[in-house]
Amino acid sequence: MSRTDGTVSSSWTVRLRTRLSRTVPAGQLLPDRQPAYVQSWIYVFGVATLAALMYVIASGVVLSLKGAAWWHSSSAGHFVNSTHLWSVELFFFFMVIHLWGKFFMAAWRGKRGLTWVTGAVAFIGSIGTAFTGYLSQTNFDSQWTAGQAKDGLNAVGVGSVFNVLDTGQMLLWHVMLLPLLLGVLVVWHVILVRRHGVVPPIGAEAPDDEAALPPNTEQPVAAAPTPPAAEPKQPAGDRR
Amino acid sequence: MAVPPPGLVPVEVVMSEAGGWLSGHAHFLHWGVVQISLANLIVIVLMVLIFVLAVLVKFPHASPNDAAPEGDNDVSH
Amino acid sequence: MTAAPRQRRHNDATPDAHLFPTRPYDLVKEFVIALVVVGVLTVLLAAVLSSPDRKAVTLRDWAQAAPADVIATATAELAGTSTSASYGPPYNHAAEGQKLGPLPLQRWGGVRIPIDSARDLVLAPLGTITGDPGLNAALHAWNTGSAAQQTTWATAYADALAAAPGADPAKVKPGTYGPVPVLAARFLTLAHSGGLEGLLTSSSTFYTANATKPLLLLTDGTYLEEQARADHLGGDQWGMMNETGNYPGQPWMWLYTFWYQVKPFSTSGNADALVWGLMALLTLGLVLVPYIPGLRSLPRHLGVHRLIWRQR
Repeated sequence: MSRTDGTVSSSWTVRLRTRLSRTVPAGQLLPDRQPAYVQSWIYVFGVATLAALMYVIASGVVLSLKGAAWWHSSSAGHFVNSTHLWSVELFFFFMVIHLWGKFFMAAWRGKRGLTWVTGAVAFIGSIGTAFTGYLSQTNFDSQWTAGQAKDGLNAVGVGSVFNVLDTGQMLLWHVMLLPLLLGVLVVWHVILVRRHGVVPPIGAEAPDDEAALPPNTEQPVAAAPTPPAAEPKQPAGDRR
Repeated sequence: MAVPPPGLVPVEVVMSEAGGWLSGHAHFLHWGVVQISLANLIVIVLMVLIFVLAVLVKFPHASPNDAAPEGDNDVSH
Repeated sequence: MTAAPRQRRHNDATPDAHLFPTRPYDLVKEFVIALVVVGVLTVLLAAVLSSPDRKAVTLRDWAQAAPADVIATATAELAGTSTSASYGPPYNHAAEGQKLGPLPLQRWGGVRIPIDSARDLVLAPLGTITGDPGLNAALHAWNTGSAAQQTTWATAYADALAAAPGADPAKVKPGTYGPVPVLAARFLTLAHSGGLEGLLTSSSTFYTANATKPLLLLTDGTYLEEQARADHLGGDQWGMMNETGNYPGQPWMWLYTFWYQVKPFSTSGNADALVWGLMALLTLGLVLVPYIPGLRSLPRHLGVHRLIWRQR
């Protein structure tokens, strides 16, 4: 943290640590409380998407352990491939419902524009990652998909960089390059959600919110430590 | 392998499909310019259905002691 | 505590989420429950429905199932009329390629995967065969002919094949085709041998993972497309959304593939570039929703949020 005399430390380590600690308000990285207005099943689809992504990655890791052609000749391999396919289908299923929900909630309000942007780019990135997966199946589907997709990519001049006919390249993009980029986007997206908190309902007014709320999210974190997670004594009122 | 003469009658090559009971010919529905597989249609219908249910179905009610007064939070944003 | 209010881009009066009443919530427990539920779903779906694995079409499969197509394709490569031979960038300069309006995007990509279809896909593999005097003579005749002569021979043979019943080389009318009939017939034999993929990819490098040449050859024929269309995978069949068999495919591709089904895209030679351009625009719109006036206020008017946040 900053020195007690208020000056900024000359240590890069301290400055980085301070900056990182302010990314998310203290105690909000893994909070044990959430706003009372978070009370709808629509809110589970973000975590459901994340859970599905865990299985996509896990099944992908198993497939990579035994190589790209394993699943053609092994029934265990075929089963792992099936879990990879269905976890991907579930991933997209939940992600799109999550997107619909966030749209109808206008969840970009209150400085959450970047949360939406990272989520939308992750959605597009997922489509691209899945696409390289289809190319890596080393079967009829891969042949046809590659033959078709090359026309689209060549038409806009990127086909020599993104050569869908080069199975080795596409496999590495699918296993390494794109998951890495996607991982960064997903982590960023989740950190942003933790940073800003869940968006309040459209038209909601915070209790006692007459004064301007702090406009600058870069303000120093308040010094008060996180209170222990004790059950509050007061009942829920009709506060809003 | 013997050299096949030109004009050989095509041999039917079996394209094996090592999948489960979703292998075999797909069912497609047509409506004007729209052609959609039954499987995709089911997925899309399910998505819309689950979205509607998620919005309409009541989430388990929080217990009366749950809500804390405002200002009880650790830090302002 | 309050600093000077920062200039807001628009009237966003959304209050700070941390000012609202809260209740206890176990985030980690929620995540674990999600993991269990999704895990069970995944395993169940995988166990019951499995996944498709339609075997790849080898060049030998192609030769066995559609020998006339192999002959016709080899001839088209030699004539310079096959899809790959007349493609343009990134494979050759035979065409300018597609444009997005005035922008020649395909040409801008440059010829960075140079492929001479006749030489790389047909003649080079044939040239590796030894102990075949008839083939040697045909190759010699081809190589010593002028470019114009080569085109004349190959084009004439291609036309004759198209006119023959079943495109059967045995039923082709006599004509001046030069060495093309022999080259095409030997090419079919080579495809039957099962070694053609290797000759096209790794005969000089041993290792390869790049299937560019065999895929270009295979897609120059009609057999692969016929197989794909039987499964509704064709571009004008919403194919981008579909999967082999009865499996769900990629429903999220619905809008991308939709444009190919309707005019002007369905009849345009620049369809790929146009669809890509349109989808790039729409995708940008999706990503930038929070910043687009009108679009960003749509949820307020649609009112679904009233259901989500209704008082219970």
